[in-house]
Amino acid sequence: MQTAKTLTKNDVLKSWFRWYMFAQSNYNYERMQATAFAHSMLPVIEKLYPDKEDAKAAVQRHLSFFNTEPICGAVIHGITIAMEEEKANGKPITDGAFNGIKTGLMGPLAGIGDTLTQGIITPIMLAICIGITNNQNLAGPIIFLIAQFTIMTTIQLTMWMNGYTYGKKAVEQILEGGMINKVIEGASILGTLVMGGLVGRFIPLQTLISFDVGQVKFNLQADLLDKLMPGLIPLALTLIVLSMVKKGVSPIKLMGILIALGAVTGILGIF
Amino acid sequence: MDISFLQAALIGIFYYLSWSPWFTYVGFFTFNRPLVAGFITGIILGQPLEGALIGAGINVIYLGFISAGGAQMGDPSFAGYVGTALALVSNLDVATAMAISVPLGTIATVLWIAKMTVNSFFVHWADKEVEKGNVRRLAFINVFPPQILLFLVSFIPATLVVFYGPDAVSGMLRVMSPSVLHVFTVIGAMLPALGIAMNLKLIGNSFTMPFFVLGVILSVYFKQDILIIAIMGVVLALTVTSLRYSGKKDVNV
Repeated sequence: MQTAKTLTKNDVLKSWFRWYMFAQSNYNYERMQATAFAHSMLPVIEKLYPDKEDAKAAVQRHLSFFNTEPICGAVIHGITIAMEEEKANGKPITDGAFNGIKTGLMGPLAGIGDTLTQGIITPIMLAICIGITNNQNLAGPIIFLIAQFTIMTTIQLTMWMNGYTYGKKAVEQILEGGMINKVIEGASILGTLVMGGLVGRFIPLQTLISFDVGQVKFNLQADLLDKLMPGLIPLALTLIVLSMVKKGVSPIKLMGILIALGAVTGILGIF
Repeated sequence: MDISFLQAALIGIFYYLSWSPWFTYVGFFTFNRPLVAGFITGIILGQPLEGALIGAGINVIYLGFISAGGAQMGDPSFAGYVGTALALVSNLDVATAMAISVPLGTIATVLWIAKMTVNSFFVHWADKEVEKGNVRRLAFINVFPPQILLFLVSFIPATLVVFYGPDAVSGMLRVMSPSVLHVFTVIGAMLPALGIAMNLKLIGNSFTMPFFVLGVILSVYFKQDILIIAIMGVVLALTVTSLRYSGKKDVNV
């Protein structure tokens, strides 16, 4: 008669902490986060599989290719832990089932995760804290540090624990519920507005072109553009770069183009 | 301003740490960003505010920085730590600092590719040890060999460029006329368009782009602080989403 093997909250947290630290420690082209995934499962595996061969098989199944966004993707680890617990208690879950769940979820969660963490939260926090710093205030970088650690750690831990508690249902809620769309849409409005705010501060381009009209000097910036819409040049430049980004011109190529454009217009006295 | 080897090495260590796991994975979202990098470099060189201001400027270029699946547009952290150090030691203004940081960040991508390639060997090492039954060895292999490698490919180049770079930069500046420096200022004013555009590619669409124009008007015409613009943005976002999503629940039910 076998007694049930159960994990304590502490085991699940120990496992989380390894991922929290070392998710990208051995990031590589061949299997991306494979060793980090298996590393994070060690506390759970050692608790669930006292038999050495079982433990070895469990580690081996988690050394396969794995790549996701480490914050939001943490829900996958939670689900995997729940599955390992069931398997250790006799449910016939095959290695293929583990792999199916992991590879099936890592793509969609990488998409959502990258959008949320790298595309929305970080740029908005950066824009605000860059703005604070620019007022000669050192609170900028300090607030940024505290806010980012709080936000990212909270999301990751919530994902991990929900994955463990609710299993696949946790992902269905994330992927199919309207909540995530609402959050992304609201944050996108905030983000685009703040990006516009940065334009004024960091793209202070004003044309130096002026003509003599009779005896009056006509200054293109002060006499025409500022009357139409101040900030027209920075706005136009950003929109042109945006359309090139959307056409698939690589960022590195665009950097080169902008450096060349800045050099030419600077030498010609346009700016 | 002079820089001692110890200061250069400290900056090199922080550059390493910003890519390492020792600040947890959130280090990637914090110590890896030029805003924080400039602040820390400023502290090491005794000018925290100047450092933070330069870092903030460099960071706008990398605002849309996204690292997905190991492909990326440069190394913002290298641009942040090394660029700020060179700018502080050579007394550059923010726009010039931004212009010289970009090539630094682009070249440093090589370090990232080297690391990602060599790390693959450690995966095979892990396979072998696990096959032998040394399951716990995996924890060691996932942490120490890649971190020793990362330390070598990050600490050494960053420290050397920070220590020997200022001579090259100040030599360059000596032969430059004011008009060349003006060109750097123009370049520095154009590069942020890339960072902002990269981010807009992700969050900008026909629905949100009018808010971008509104943001430009608020900052250029009304001269509002980013913080005020952000607060207005939160109000707008809450209002608009609750308007758009109100009543949709009934449809779903």
